Amino acid sequence: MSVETTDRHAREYWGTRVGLILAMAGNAVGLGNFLRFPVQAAQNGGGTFMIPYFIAFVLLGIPLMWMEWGIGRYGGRFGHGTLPGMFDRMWRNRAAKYIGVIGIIMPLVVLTYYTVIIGWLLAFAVFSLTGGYFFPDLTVAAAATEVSAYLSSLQDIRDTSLHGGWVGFAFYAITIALITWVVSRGIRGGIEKLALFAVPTLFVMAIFLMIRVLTLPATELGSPVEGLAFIWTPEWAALGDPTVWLAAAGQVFFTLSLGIGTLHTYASFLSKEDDITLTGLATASTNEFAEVVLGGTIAIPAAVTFFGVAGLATVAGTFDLGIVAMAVVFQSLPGPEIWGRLAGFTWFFLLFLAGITSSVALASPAMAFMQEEFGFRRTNVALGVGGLALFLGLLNVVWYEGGFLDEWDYWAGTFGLVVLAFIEIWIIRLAFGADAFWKELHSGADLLISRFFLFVMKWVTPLFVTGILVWWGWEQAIPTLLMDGVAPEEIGTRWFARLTLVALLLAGIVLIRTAWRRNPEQHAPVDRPRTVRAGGGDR
Amino acid sequence: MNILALLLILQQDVEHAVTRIADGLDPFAVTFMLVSMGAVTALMVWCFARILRGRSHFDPDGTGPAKPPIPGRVERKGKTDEL
Repeated sequence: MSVETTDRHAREYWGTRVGLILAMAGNAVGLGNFLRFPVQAAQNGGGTFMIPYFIAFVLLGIPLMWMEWGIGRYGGRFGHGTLPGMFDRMWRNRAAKYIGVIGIIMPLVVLTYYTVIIGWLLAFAVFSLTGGYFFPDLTVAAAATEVSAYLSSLQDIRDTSLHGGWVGFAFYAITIALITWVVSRGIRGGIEKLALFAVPTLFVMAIFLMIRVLTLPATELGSPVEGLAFIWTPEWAALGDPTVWLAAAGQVFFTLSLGIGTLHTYASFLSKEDDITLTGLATASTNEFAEVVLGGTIAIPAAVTFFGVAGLATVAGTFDLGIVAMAVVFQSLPGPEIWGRLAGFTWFFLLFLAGITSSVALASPAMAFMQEEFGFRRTNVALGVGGLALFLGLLNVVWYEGGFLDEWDYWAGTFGLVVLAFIEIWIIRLAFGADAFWKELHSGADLLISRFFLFVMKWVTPLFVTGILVWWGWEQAIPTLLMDGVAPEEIGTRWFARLTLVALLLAGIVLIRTAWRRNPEQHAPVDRPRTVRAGGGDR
Repeated sequence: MNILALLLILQQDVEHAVTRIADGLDPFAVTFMLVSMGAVTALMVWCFARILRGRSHFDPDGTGPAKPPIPGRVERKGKTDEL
């Protein structure tokens, strides 16, 4: 077999398989597992939501997870850790590498506002220990109002009523500094070590909180059992509603971190002899455990116990469920206040850990691109990416009230995921070849995937993703583009956010063009992957 | 992500939700909950059990997966013809 590959020892690689799985799981496990999933389940048929959810997991989530691991590992053989190089190798078309730009820019954009949010979580973890948001003499409703104001003051740097304007920025800067430090240590010395510490810690903390929440005594407003009923009580009529099926597909999409480019980069640090079928499935199942078992038994059962179902929905402000409602829950726990403070720290720190492991993954594509395509040193690239994220994040902080963050979140963090998945799935299907990819996927495999999934990857998943793209494009993207329902005072900020996004994409395209011109030998054509199909691969 | 939008949905649906859970955690709800949690837990345990059993394939000397010393399970069992 004559596919030429870059000497992989010139690149970094994972130290252990468990480290790889935990890093991948850390990438996938985020705020959505603990906050988005239970709300989605509750609003889309309760227990019956799990029927479309598991179907989407099997037909969409697992196949796409394998596909992204496969694309990443294949690209890594040629020294490419990002989508421009991977697409260029899989589809010999001059446009392929430019399409891959979204696999670098989107995670960078999401990183900038994700770190703002996890900066708030770090702040609340510290405030839990200091008792900053504890108002022991107030009722639950009054405390919720106070905590909401406490959070607003942290979010808005111009609001100095409860915090100095620098406090929110300081926690944001600490978060960025931590991410920069981790990625500057590399895959094995930074990201893997973080995952080996953070992911087990996160799980232990979540199990502790789950036990604490489920053993809470009932209050006059609600109980943990009512919270579980709120999430799981089935509504059979929901199964006939197509929006429920789309919601389930969307949840599977978001929770597994599909369509953003991070899985590809992590998988590129594997050799073709390494298993990705069983390892990919292990990653997906770990994420599902965090979501269905842990995510479904903490936030909503706790909040329903102290607010009741009606009260939960009327707490004012933003990020109510994860920050405001839970902050009130912890100060309302029976027993000495110190236990409430520790429980609060546990909750906010576990969310912070979930966020930080996702953030280092989001920084990885930009890191890999600048190191591999331009030969810059890792430390310098880490400082550059950290500095850029800090600058771009400030736009989110300064124009937060104008909807800047929402705009970026929609185009890069929501709709963009489906666009990228749509592109990669059709590149596999039409350019690389589904059968060739199937063989590629099984190189070094520890798990022989049922051929049922070959059919699914050929037909079901592509049509599923295309359907989601068309539906969301029609239902959401067009109205969002036309700014339906947007307050007039936000329109200017939102256009500014869009133009910034376009400018970043154009800058990425210029960098790709420069990289390919600068180093034509590295990007020269080699044997097509059809040799894999014809000759049984390069095993 | 998109938590703001979710909370808006939550607010719109509160009356319906109160009615829906009036009977508490009924047997169907318990069944869905336990089956869902059991399924994902079983899948995770099965994956990790299989991975840990095959540890020698991956990282026998702690030097990492740069070059696994023996082929993957699929190749070892001669199942590549089934691909």
